[in-house]
Amino acid sequence: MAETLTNPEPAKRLPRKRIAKGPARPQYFENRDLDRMMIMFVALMAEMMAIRDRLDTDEALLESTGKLSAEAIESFQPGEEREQAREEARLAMMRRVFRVLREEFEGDA
Amino acid sequence: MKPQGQHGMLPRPNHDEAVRESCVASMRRYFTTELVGENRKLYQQKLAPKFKAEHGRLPETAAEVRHLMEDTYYYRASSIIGRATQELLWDTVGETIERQLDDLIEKARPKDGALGTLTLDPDMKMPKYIEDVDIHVMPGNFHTELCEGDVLAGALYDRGAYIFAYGSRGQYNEQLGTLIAGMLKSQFPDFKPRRILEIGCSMGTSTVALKDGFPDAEMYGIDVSAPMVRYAHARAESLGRAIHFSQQDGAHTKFPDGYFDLVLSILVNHEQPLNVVQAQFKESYRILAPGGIMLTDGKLKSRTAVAEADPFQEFMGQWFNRNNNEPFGKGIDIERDFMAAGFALEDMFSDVPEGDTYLKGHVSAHSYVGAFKR
Repeated sequence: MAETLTNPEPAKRLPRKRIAKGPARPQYFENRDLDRMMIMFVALMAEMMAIRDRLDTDEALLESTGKLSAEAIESFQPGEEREQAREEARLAMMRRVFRVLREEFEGDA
Repeated sequence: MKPQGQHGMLPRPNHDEAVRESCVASMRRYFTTELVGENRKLYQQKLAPKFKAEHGRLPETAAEVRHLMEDTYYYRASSIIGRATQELLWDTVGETIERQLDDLIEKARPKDGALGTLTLDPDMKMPKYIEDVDIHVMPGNFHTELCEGDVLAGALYDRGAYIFAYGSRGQYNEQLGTLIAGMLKSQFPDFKPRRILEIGCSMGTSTVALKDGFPDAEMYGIDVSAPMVRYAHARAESLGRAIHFSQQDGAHTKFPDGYFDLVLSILVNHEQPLNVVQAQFKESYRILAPGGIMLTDGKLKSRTAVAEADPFQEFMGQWFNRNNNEPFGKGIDIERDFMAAGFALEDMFSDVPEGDTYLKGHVSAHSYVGAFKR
């Protein structure tokens, strides 16, 4: 009995850390909850861009093979030209989404 | 973004993970090449003239600039977009690595017949500055181990640095190492180091590039972090490079006096408190052979033209320190600290290699300082 109790547990892996330690995140907006909302907003924008890229993969596969499969999607590589076009589309999306940041460049600061 | 150069330790993202990584790279590029630079335009076109109209002079200190900038929505919003992108970067890359971590750990175990070596120090006590601050907002920092044999931090830093640079620092993150080797070879064509040490080598990307620059030299890389040197060893082996990696603190190494002809630390100074940087310079001097070179990033005060005061640059130049968990690097004076380590001022040199990618948007290209030991 005592022996089984002293048997070490099999080595477990801890989950990866997802929040950084260190100085508090600087405060950007009037309250920290708004900062957190903005961090979620930026993450959501990345998710949205990624959906657009996945649609582009679907379109590329449909154009070239006429059908879709999970396997074909997983092994699809966009290639340099297609990746370049995706990159331009992402930059264009960010310029649209963040348009309001330009406000202070117009009129009086 | 061009695909990252393949090697055996690179995590393999699935389709959606790969596109999310590319999206974060695009966001990093947008922040660096479009958002950040516009702060200066806003300052010059709107804020500085308004300040002058009110005070009869332009802002003279970084604190005055800071006050003006933080009052704008643009500065606050563009800054939090940059910060949010940085947090998202690690979390995006981390998801892929964690999914494959058991496999990566197995691949990283040292094999018989390896070209180089891996030496760990199970008694290593992590320095407090490593435990206290997750540099670059990378959760777990360089040293965290999730289990025995862990390599997550190494994989995270290799893939994360590639995305941070949106692929602009070379397919193998090799640009800094390649530029430094080229710079040394062109300045000192007769310099033929027999042994080279990179202090704070992390995932070993510059270490591999330096080995390529000096293929006849025995190459060593040290880092306080076990996950980093495990990963660096496995990565270098997979790429067919013979390098000796070991877990050691650059401020107190186990190497004998005069063991190396070239000792480098590349972009490590800003991640350590001043007393640690100074101790590391002293240790570097000790393990250098006469005629050997110590090299690090920085400037020589007495040989750098005094630039016209630019309080805006002074303020924005600290953006990463304030927003990216890079609180160190203050107070360093390479001339003073190299001299305190034993080098003579007349034996120092500096250079700014051409072709360095301008990644932090608002700091000047990296400049390096070296010194010969007599």
